[in-house]
Order: sequence, then C-alpha cells, then structure tokens
Amino acid sequence: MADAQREQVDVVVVGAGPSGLAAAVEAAAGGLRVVLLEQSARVGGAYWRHSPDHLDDLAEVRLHHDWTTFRRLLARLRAVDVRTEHTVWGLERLELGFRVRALRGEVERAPVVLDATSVVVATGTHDRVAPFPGWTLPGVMGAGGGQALLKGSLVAPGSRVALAGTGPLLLVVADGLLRSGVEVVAVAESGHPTAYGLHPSSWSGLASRTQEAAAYVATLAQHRVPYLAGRTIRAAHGADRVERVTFATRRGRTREYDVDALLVSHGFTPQLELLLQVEPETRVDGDGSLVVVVDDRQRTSVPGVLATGEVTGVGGASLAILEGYVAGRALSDRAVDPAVLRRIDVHRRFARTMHAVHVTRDTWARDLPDDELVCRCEEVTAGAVRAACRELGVDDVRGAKLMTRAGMGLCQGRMCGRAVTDLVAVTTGREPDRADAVRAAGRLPAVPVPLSALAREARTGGDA
Amino acid sequence: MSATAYDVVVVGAGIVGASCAHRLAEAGLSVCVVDRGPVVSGTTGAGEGNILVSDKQAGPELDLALLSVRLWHELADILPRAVELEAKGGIIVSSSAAGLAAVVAAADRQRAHGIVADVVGPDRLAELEPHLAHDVVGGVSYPQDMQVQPMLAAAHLLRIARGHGAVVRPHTRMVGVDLGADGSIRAVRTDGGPIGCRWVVNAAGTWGGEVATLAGGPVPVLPRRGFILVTEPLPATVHHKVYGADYVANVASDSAGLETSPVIESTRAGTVLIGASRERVGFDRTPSYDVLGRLAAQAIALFPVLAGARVQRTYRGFRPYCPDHLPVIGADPRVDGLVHACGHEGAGIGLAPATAVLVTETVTGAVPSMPVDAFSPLRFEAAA
Repeated sequence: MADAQREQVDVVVVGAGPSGLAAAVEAAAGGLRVVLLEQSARVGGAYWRHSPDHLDDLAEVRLHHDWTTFRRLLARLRAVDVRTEHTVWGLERLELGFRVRALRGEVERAPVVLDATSVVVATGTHDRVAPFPGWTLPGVMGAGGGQALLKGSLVAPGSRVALAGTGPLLLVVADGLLRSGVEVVAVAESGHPTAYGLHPSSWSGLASRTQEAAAYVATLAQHRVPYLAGRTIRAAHGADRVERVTFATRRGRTREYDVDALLVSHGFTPQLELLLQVEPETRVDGDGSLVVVVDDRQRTSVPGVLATGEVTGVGGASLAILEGYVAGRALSDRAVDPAVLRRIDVHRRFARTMHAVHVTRDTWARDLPDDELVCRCEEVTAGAVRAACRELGVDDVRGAKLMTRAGMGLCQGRMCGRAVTDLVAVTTGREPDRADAVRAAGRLPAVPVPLSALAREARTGGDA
Repeated sequence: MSATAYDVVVVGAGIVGASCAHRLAEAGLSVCVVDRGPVVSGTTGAGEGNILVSDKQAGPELDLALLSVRLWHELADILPRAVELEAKGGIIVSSSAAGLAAVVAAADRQRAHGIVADVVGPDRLAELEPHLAHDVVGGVSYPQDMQVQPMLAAAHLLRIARGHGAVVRPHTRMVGVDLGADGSIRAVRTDGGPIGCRWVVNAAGTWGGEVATLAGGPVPVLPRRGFILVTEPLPATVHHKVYGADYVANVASDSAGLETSPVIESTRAGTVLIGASRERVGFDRTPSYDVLGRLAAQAIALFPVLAGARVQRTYRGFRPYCPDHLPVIGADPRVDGLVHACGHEGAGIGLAPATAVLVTETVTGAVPSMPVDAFSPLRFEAAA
C-alpha cells in the first residue's frame, strides 16, 4: 500500500520557477520543513532556464535577467528539500492538510505521495496559442520555447528569425537572439506600445521595467531590426518548413519576410489544473485568462492552499518573486515588509496596463481557414469546430471537445483550450463565462498517470 | 403568453430529450427543446455510450432494451458514421468457477426472453480478447450489445429534429408551468420567459426529480455517482465491451455505499474507457482517489497489459437513479400534459430510442408499442 512511502511535511511548493523558489526559501527560513517539487531536471523555471554546464558562464549572465537574484535564491535553497523531475498530478484535500501525488523521473514514473499542512501552487503558464495559416509548420514555435532552446541548450532556433504576437516577451527574446548573434529580421507587435504613455501612473513606480524596455528597443534599433507596432502575423509559408512570413497591418497592408524560423507569443495561459482540483475561487483576468483569487498573503479561498506567480494573474517574474516571498513569510507567520506589498500593487497595476496594451484580438478566429488545425494533438481543424457549432448546437468549449475531440489528446487542451474557446465564441456569438473556463481547465490527473500508479490509490478496505 | 406556442416542450437536451425531440418532430408535432446548460451537458456527456441487453434481467426493462436495440439499428441509417454506433458485443467474464456458474445460469434465463447469450470457454475467450488475464475461467458473450458515442448521437438527433422544425434553446432553465382553467398545461415558464405548449416532456435525467416537482408531478430521481478513467490512445487492446460478473449485481443493487466492478472497452480513437463505480453521495463532485484506484486495479486484474497505459483524464457523472431501478416513462395523471421520460439510471443511452417512441405514442394517443405500466410515475406513491 502507498501509505508506507508517505511523508509528512509542513509545506509542499509545486513549481521551482521564480515565485516557487522564493516561497520555498522564505518558508524554510521561517523554520518550516519545505519540499519543493519541480517537473524539470533543474530549478529556475522558464524564466531562469539554464544549461547546467554554464551556471557561471558569461552566456548565462547575458541571457538572463536578475541572474544575481537567482544565485541568491539558489544559495538559500540549501534549507529546502528540492526534488526535481517530480511531476505533480494530484492535489487532494484531507481532513487536515493536503495530499500531493507526483511521479518521479521521466522514465520510471515512480509514484510519490506527500502529506502537507500547506501547499503553495506556483505552476506558471503555458504559451497561449492563437492559430494562423501555417502555424503548425516546422520552424514556427512559441517565443517561450525558442527562448528556452537558447537558454537551456544555447541553441538558436534559426539563423534568420522573425517574431510576432504581442507583449514584452517578444522584445526580451529578440534581445536574447541578437546578443547570441542571430539575425532578427523583424518583430511584429499587434498592440500599440505607445499606449503605455496613456497610463503613466501604471509604470511610474517601475523604473527598472521601463529602463529594461527602453534598453530592448535600443538594442533592436542598434541592429536595425524593425519593431512593427500594430502588425499581426497573417501567415507562415513554406513547403517542409517555414520559409517566409506575411505580416499585416489592421488595414490589411501586408509585407513578407524571408526567414528560417518564426517565434510567436500571444500571451500566456496560467496552468490551473492542479489548483482547480481543490476548487478555489477563481476569476477571469484582464487578458481573458482564468486565474485564482488570492488575498494579500497569497492565500486562496481554500485554507492552506496558497498560490503565487502567474496562476494569480500573468504579471512577470519580478511580481512572481515578490508573491513568493509574501507566501513564504505568511506560511511561517512572519511579518511581511509593507514595502513589498506596495511594490506588488505597483506591479499588478502595471500588469493591468500590459494586458490592456497587448491584446490578442480574436480576429484570427474569424480569419483562420477551415482546413487549418486548432488542436494539434487530435488534428482537429477550425472547420470541424465551426461545423460543430453550426450543425450540432455547440456553444461552449466543453461541447466542442466532446463533439470534435479538440483538447482530448495528450495535452488535454492545455495548448488549444483557449483557442477553441475563442473560436467557439466568435462562431456562435456567445461569450464564454467563468464556469466554462473552469470546466475547460480542470482536469484530474493534471498529467497522464500510469494505471499502475493510480491502482495504488485503492484503499484495500478496513485497516488492511 | 409567449408569441410562439408549441405542441411539446422537451425539458433536457441529453440523449433522451434529443431522442424524444427527434421522434415527436418526425411525427409532425412542433417541438421546442430547452436545457438549463449547453446541449448535452448532463449525464449523457459523462457516460460510456452503452447500449446493453446483457445486464438486464427478464422484465420490463429488458423489453425496453430489446425494443431500443432494434431502434438503434434503424437509427444507424440516419445517423452519420461519426457517432461511432457499433454492434461490438459485450462479454461478461469471471475468474472463479462459482462466478461463472452464476453468469451461465443468468444467461439461460435471459435466452428465454430473446437475448442471444453464448457461453464461451477459455480458448474461445482468448481468441475474442487475447489480452485477457489468464485466470479468467470463462464467460458469456452477448453479440447484441452495442456502443455509441453518446454526445454525438444526441447532438445529431437534435440536428435531425431541427430539420423537422424543432427549436433548441440551450441556456434556458425551466422554472415552472402555467396551467389553464381546465388544469391542463398551457406553457412552460423559463428564465427566458414563458413558452406556450400543450405537452411538457420531462427528459431532465438526473435532474428529472427537480423538473417533475416544478411541473407538479413529483417523482423520486436520485443521483448515483460514477467515475470513468480514460487512457491514452493504445493499439487495439480491448475488442468488445468486457465486464466482470459483479457488474450485473452492482447495477441491480440498492446499496448507497460504494460498489465498483470492471467495465472496460475501447473507443474508435483508441482510448480505453474504464468503469464502473456506483455510489449515492448526492451531487458531490469531489474526486475519490479510492474509487479511481479501485477502477485502475480492477482493470489491470482483467487486462494486465494495461498496467503501463497512462490515464489521460478521469470524469464523473451522476446517473438518474429511481429506487426500483426502472425509468419513469409516460403521462402523469396528476398533471394534464406532463409526460415523464427520466430516471434511466446508467442505461439512458441504450434505452433512449424506445423511451422516445413511448413518449411520442403517449402524446399522439397511439397504441403503445409495449406495456408501460411498470414505468408509471404513480408507482412510488402506491408503494409509500
């Protein structure tokens, strides 16, 4: 029986990105026994993804922000029981505390069970997908994925790269590529970043962020890379892989670029599947994402479950670190520096402006040809989803999933869920509500689990 | 009063409501289907798509099932291939000689009532299901058992009904009925305004008790929770609907406590569906790791090759359970115009076509295709 392997700890932190690391070290500093579970082989998350051989390398310093912050957190991590290659699939409420179920190792997938008084969920985000003609061509990838390639293995995603979509990540990745000697042909930003000027109060307290953005824009200018506001990716073309991309203005003026890679970023989808297993209060954030509601100590509506970082609203790493700090202090009953709480407010205000400026419009859902895929795992086309809406009365994402299998594949809708939601909304004219989003994002197990691991959960009855 | 008056308002856009709308509209009646949620958002979307005779004992439910199987074969002509309607056959298996003897004896009784049930020994079983555990001593094969993708079947029946003029109004919650001076139904009241009609069909499944009460003709329908595991797509592993000998006993049991028995089948997409659990815990949606674990363990016991297969998702549903395990079908003498079609427990997919025929006969005043007294909404009052 699984009980033999069960451990009892004070806190389990799920996810070792910026906020999870901060929460873990802060809780451990308060004397708590903390286990930090991380899916990948290394801590740092997507933000501080790094190559293990280059921890002190200049390349890392060049590619990473707040590298010193990361090194400081790593130094304090000795007080934390860190377990990498642990994928959490289940979060269960017990009468007292919580049971966290994970699989250890990419290959052996051995079941691990931890009981904790409190849980901090810092599971971060997925790239949000907004399909366009050619989006499944080899050489087209998420900007986050392209950046991970560069950071994790110091491999460039191509030699002539275009970027498209919206948000600060485009600038960050373009900067990283340029610094690594990759030719960046153009950056298409669908929003109008000059609109930040309309909300001066939202970034006035964030000198570091405005300086950072200015530095990126300067780097682009220095390399004569056009930063094209108000342009969207119209299509990627190529026989076996992307060879050319078309950018378009809102009025429909187009321009083509020869490339061998296209990196896209249309924002992020917070990974809520684990949190939703304990049914906390949620809300729809300014960018349309379903996020969990937290109070000023990062506590969710489920006592004992805290959430930090992007699952509470997409706001970037600096905010995530501060949230992690607050969660760790709150768990160990220590005072929270009021300046940090003020700083969190400033960051959240900025995030709201960021969501307003960097909007991924749903025009893609109108324009995408019927024969283009929206769900890669199950190879479901836009036409199939539209037909389900028009002929079978589907008007929500769950119906689309049941009728077309969109989101029924290996990723279970993590990638395509938001796109299918938007496609259904545009096709039917019915606005999705929060209940739709909760149904679409909730899943047990959070990741696929071998039947043999699940079988261990059977209570054999009585005291046996 | 609403501007449009229909002959019939069907409450519930699941498989039973869709089947009723289809039959009624085909019979020339004007039909409006309402559902409080999107189409097919209740128990129909949470099942395996069973169309079974094998788990029925001689009696009214078996008669309903046999009529339904015949009707499903007819529906195959008008439903697209996409609904995955398939006469794949079911096999009840047992790992013990005593269990097998009970299954064989039950099959003997079923055969007298028109069920095809072939006793199969270990060799034949190994041919039918090569991956079955070696300790399975034998079983009974039921070639009449079928499977369908229930959500698509319901949605296509609604589409066909719309072709006959039916109107489907999702996100419209029934809140009551209006009666005329003579006491007969004049309209269904909804949160989107009243909908004029002569008849109301209660096809609200597990929520049928609530709708019945709102309509003034209460019937006891309770939720009986079930979980299903879905694996990743696998190469052909399970060819029939295979289930353990305990399943039939569990289906017929009155216990509120947890019962699990292995029910395993694959879908056209290659995923394997693993059930079945039954427990009466109200509408509690909290996942039970114990139940999920038992289902997994039982599946491995029957098909050891599944041990390494990964479960991609699990889901739960609430079967509409009546105390005597029979559905409620037919006119309610207490409310002129109210017709029930709910409480099918875990058999609603299979029993929907026959239910729809009986409902349509009730509304049109035709001679019923089979006796309906056993399904009467008044039978619970008599027992009290």
